[in-house]
Amino acid sequence: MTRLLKLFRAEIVRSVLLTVRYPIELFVGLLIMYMLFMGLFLGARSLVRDTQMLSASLDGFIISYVMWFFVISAMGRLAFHIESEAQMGVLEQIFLTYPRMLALMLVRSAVDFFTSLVIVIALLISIMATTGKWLAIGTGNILELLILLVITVAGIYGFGLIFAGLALVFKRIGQVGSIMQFAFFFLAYFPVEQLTGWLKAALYSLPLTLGVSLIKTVIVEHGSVFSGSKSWLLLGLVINSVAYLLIGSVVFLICERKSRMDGRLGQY
Amino acid sequence: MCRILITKVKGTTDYQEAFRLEGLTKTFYPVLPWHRSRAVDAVRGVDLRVPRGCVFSLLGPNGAGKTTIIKMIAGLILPTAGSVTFYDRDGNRLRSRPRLGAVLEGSRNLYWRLSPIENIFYFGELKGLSLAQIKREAEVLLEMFDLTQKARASTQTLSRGMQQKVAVAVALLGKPDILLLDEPTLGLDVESSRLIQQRLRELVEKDGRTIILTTHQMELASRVADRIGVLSEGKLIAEDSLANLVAFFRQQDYELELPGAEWERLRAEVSAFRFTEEKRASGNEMRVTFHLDNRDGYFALSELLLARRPEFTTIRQVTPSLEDIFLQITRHYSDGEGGAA
Repeated sequence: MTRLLKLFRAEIVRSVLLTVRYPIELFVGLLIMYMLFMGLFLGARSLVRDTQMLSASLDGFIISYVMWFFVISAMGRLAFHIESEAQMGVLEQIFLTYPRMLALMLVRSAVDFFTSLVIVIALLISIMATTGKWLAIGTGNILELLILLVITVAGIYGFGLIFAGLALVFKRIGQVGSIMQFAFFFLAYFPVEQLTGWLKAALYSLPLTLGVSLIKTVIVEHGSVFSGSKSWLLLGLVINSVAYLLIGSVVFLICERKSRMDGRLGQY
Repeated sequence: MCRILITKVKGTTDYQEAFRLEGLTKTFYPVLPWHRSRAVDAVRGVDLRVPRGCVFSLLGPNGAGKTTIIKMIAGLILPTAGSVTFYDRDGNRLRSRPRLGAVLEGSRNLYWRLSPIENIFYFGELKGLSLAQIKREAEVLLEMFDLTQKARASTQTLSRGMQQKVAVAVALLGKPDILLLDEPTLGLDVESSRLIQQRLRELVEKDGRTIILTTHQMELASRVADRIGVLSEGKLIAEDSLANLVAFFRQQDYELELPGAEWERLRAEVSAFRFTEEKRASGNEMRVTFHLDNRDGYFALSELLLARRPEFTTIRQVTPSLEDIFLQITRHYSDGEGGAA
């Protein structure tokens, strides 16, 4: 078995063990996310009196919220791993054991994505059951949605790598991360597709926005992104995500070197 | 100020080298560039050759640069200048490094929420070991450190001594060629400390591993170390085998025990020599320690004593403890007296 597969197995086992061992933490986290959604949903319902209009926009509302969950996971947890491991004093031990930290972070991102996916499915079912609004997800579009999800989330994790790198150098960056999460909350809900010109292009160049827009195309408009004019946007999404993954990786490597140069790897 | 290595390794070809430090230097700069004037020179041009199959102990006061050197050897800190070479391979290149194990900063090297066995499996897989290999080694290591009964307990519920033993066990996974230990027995009870010391010696004597150890505990260093390096203000100021260091420093001090009245008669006669006097707890006996600079001093003192024929009960050459040696070296260095052997 190659070293990378062993790394995957080690990370999956560690992630499962820590999740299973502390189920209350997981449950409380899910409950908070659910309650936050319900708060937003009830708030939106009190503002939008037109129930038909609300129903039409509810699909997009749910999609944006679920995608924002991935942002929280990618940005928060990658940097959180670094912060908490530096605090535990285990970060140096990990580096000593497996010095290719970028590879480790990419593997962690993949494992984290699958963990988040399981949580998101549970969250999504709860939300849909409560609101009575079931998203049009079925055998016809599930593969397309999964591909879109993976590509979009890859870009988000690329962006998360930047924060993980900054956490290596500055350690406590939780406040900045929180502000960024709010910024992404805004981006997830902002109707970028209704804009035109450079502002639309600029917002689409950020992680998340284009992906959310394309997922909405598949679920809300029952369209396809694999054919027609939207396929160009899919290509744009691929380029966007690859670019963020590359930028995130380069920033992470620079920060890792900076951290080792400054002797900050084990500091907290 | 004079900065001279007091003793040093004699020759470099009579043993196989585990690693070599050449001009190793580390200056820590603040993150903000406009604070560069606050830069700290943690390690300054350290040259060191460590033979394979020995315990090498780095001693030094707080801030001497011990941990920084250990971390540079481990690759956790990049040197500002100089190099680390393992078996003639560049230590800064990750691929060319030998298998290293390390325990740094006490017991903070583990996932506290995982059990010892889970930590062992996690780090074992990170090291690229097969599950069967990890299982085999885990059994041996848990047995070696008396951890079998606690293998499945949460690490955070274990005592500090046990956590430290788990950390050492994890570091030993994959049979590392070089083991780096930063204060491995600090804060441990006597039993745990002794067990770790015993295992470290076994690792060197039976398996031929090389162990680098930093410590403030002179007793630990004198029990387990084959060679000692003394650091002060980021510089290596002494380095040799423990036996050579003791032999070198034992020439200096001679201890005389004699009745108080005799000492009163003799004191004025020996005023040319440096000495410290101490009244014994029992009786009227005095213990006088002469601190002589060289063998000529010893002969001069001997002649004087022979001429005056005091009724002394004992005279013996003082065998200095490692603590005495350490204090002499660091004081000598910090006083800027210089001097070399």
